[in-house]
Amino acid sequence: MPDERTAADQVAAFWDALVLGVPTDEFAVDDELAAALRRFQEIGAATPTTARERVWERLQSSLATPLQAGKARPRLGQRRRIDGPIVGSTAADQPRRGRPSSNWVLAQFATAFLLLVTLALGLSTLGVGRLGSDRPTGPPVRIEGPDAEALVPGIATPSAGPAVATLFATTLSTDDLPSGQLRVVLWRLSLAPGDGFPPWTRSQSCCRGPQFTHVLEGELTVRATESIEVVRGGDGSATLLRPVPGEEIVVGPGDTIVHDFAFPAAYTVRGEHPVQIVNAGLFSGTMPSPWLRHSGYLGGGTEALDGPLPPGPVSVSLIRAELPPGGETRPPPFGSLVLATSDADNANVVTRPDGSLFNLGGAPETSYAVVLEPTGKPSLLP
Amino acid sequence: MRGLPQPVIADEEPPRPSLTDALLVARAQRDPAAFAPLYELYFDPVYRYCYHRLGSWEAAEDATSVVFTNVLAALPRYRPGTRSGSFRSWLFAIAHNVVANQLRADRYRRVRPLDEAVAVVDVAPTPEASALAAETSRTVRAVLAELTPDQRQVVELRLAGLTDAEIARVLGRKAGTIRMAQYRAALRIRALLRPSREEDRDA
Repeated sequence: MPDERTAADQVAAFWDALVLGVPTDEFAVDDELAAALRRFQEIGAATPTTARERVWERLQSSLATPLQAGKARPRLGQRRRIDGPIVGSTAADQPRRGRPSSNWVLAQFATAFLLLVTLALGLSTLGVGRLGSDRPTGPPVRIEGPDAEALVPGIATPSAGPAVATLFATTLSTDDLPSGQLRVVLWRLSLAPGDGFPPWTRSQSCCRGPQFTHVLEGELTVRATESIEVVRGGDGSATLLRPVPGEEIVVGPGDTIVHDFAFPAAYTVRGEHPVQIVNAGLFSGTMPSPWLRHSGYLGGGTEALDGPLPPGPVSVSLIRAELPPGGETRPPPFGSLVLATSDADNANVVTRPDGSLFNLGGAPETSYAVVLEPTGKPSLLP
Repeated sequence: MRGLPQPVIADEEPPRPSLTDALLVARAQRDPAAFAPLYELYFDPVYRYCYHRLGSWEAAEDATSVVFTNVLAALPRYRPGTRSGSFRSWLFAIAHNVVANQLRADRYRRVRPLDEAVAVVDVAPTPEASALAAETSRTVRAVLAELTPDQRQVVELRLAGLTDAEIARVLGRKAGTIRMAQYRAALRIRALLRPSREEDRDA
């Protein structure tokens, strides 16, 4: 019998799936509760259709710049009189745009006159020839920055702004990968104290392929149920450990756990602080939805490979890119596949078609990416 | 990791993180005239949220207008990924505040009969559609009225399509607190909807 907190987590995950429109079959929520929530969510989603246009009309009138009309372009004859006052800025609060008053015209003339007087005094003092005499002539000279240092094969730092670090890298042989339609996955998760990962306990037989779980912060207790490997990276030793099935091992920042999707280890947060992890891998099949809506899900997604892998090994790099506003990474070698996610799942870091990452937000962003680079050819991309 | 057999799987593909918001927000920040797609995307959830909180479509329309006016005014200052969180969280935090202001202004507490409200807002719904809309709205509001204020806030944001992480951010509370309130609300909803489900079966 699950305790109340577990049940609350399950309901939260179920309701998340409901609002996101992803399958809800995998959640351990009783049928009656699931049906009630499904029905309630459905009937609560009804919205009248015409208010959209009226509100749009009001927005138009509250702006000096006309809004570009989308589907919300108002139709004539549908404006409704608003009786009550509106809190905040509305059309009624905005200055009327139209013919300027005579006082405003006089003020403009006075300002223009003062500007002319100031300019005339400046010219008489400095002389016409001196203005602009310090300007360089000829074509503009490009100022070269310091040469970028390649931190990982594929993505490098173009300037002092963005910082790219390799969290984990390995090379997978053809034998390491399942056949069939492959997908690459990347999740950013925050596991609360007492939390477990994966959140479900029944046997995971959804998919096959290698996955890598890298600890960014905190301590995670891992119990091996099948063969797993732990790469100690936090102390810089890159030591490889192979705990036997049933053995528990505590991993910390910089460490990476490697095992197959089909044989997940049980992860538990036994400490008092959340554990931040990034999880990446390649799999064949489709993961069940509870993975997606884990309570500590911060962002992530999957990308399908278009067709089978090219012959030869594939290098896999898990990287962290810290990008200032407008910052970008260099594109990886042609043919590489990049899948990225940001901490806040607000997608301010976009992956360009060439595989470079670009922060289009106004604040620094930390982004994680998995980079697959075929050592043989051709490309992993369509 | 060698010689792994091919599994047989039949499940839904997980959704990918959407890039839409960030791109649309960036565009609207550069040019307010390009706000239309964001409005298109978020009008319904915001309007619905305002309705569930204020109790009339008319008041919801006014509130929604204020929300989007405020969003337009504040958009240049919005910094994604910072304390504001995602655009959706930020937008609904504004909506939450606007509605709270409206509720404080006592005149908006007046709840109109839902049949009247539906008739006013929809231009030409069929009588059946009006009746159905009024019935479903009445059910939702009756359920919401039975919840505690905390539970109700969470459920109203759920009906607007927010995830529990987003709700926690909008309300400024811990995710665990939100989940517990939500869980108890869910049990209450189940209990409240039970008689009507039996009626449906009888019908």
